Amino acid sequence: MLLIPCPYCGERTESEFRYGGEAHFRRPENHLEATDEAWADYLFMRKNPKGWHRERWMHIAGCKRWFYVVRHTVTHRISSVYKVGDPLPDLPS
Amino acid sequence: MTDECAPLDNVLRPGAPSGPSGVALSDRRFVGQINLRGRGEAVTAVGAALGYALPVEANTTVGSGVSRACWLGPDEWLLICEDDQRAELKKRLDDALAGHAYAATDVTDSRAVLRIAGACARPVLAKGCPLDLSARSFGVGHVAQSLVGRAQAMILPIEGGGYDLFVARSFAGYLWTWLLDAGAEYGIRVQT
Ligand SMILES: [Zn+2]
Repeated sequence: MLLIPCPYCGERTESEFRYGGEAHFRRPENHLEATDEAWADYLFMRKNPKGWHRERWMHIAGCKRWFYVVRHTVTHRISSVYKVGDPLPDLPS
Repeated sequence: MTDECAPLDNVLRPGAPSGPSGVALSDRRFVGQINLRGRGEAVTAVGAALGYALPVEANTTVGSGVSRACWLGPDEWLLICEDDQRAELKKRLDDALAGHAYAATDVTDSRAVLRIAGACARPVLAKGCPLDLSARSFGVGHVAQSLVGRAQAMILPIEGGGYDLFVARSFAGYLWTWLLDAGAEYGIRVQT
């Protein structure tokens, strides 16, 4: 069970949250001219790293806000959380 | 709430154990609830209309008795009041917020309010709630949205110990029977 520090509510247990997958991937800019490969990449391909991962979480049983978490996919350590619109914190080295 | 079929009618059976009871359960049927969304100057304008500033610190509540504002999110509050005052409160908000971007919505009928009181209210709630319920970190003046027996609920500590649990009315019967089960070992007094 993770203890996730919601940037609004503070530390809460994982069961209060919903996972939203990888963060910060972008829809193809020029969508009429984007290639099939670019669309497929946007729709289906995710990084799935073994290591630090920027991801989306929603505090569904609490304040009901989306925010971002930097989490290590092996150790589950959370290095930072940040709000939508905040500057991206660096990944730990 | 004046509806014919209150959410707990099917499960609420007043009674008390023959021995001691550490928990008292009741249905707080008559609580008006208005959901408020807004930011910036709208927040200040509401403060002037209510006579007290909206709580901007997370998980806190301001007010007295039934009339209070509970923090739900960075731009969201639940205002509660006596049931017969909600129309007046809604009008006061609408008047104060004219010209601002906001939403004030009467959501009274969306949630039931279950009260769990008595000396053993906290250990009963702790069986199904992941919050730190110690009086030091969660007492009167605090409020939180969390889980109780896996149902989403707003939990409001009350004077004298105990909690008001605001839960979607379709979950009210379930949560009531969950509380009856969780509290059985302490003896439960059910009040109307
Ligand atoms: Zn939160």
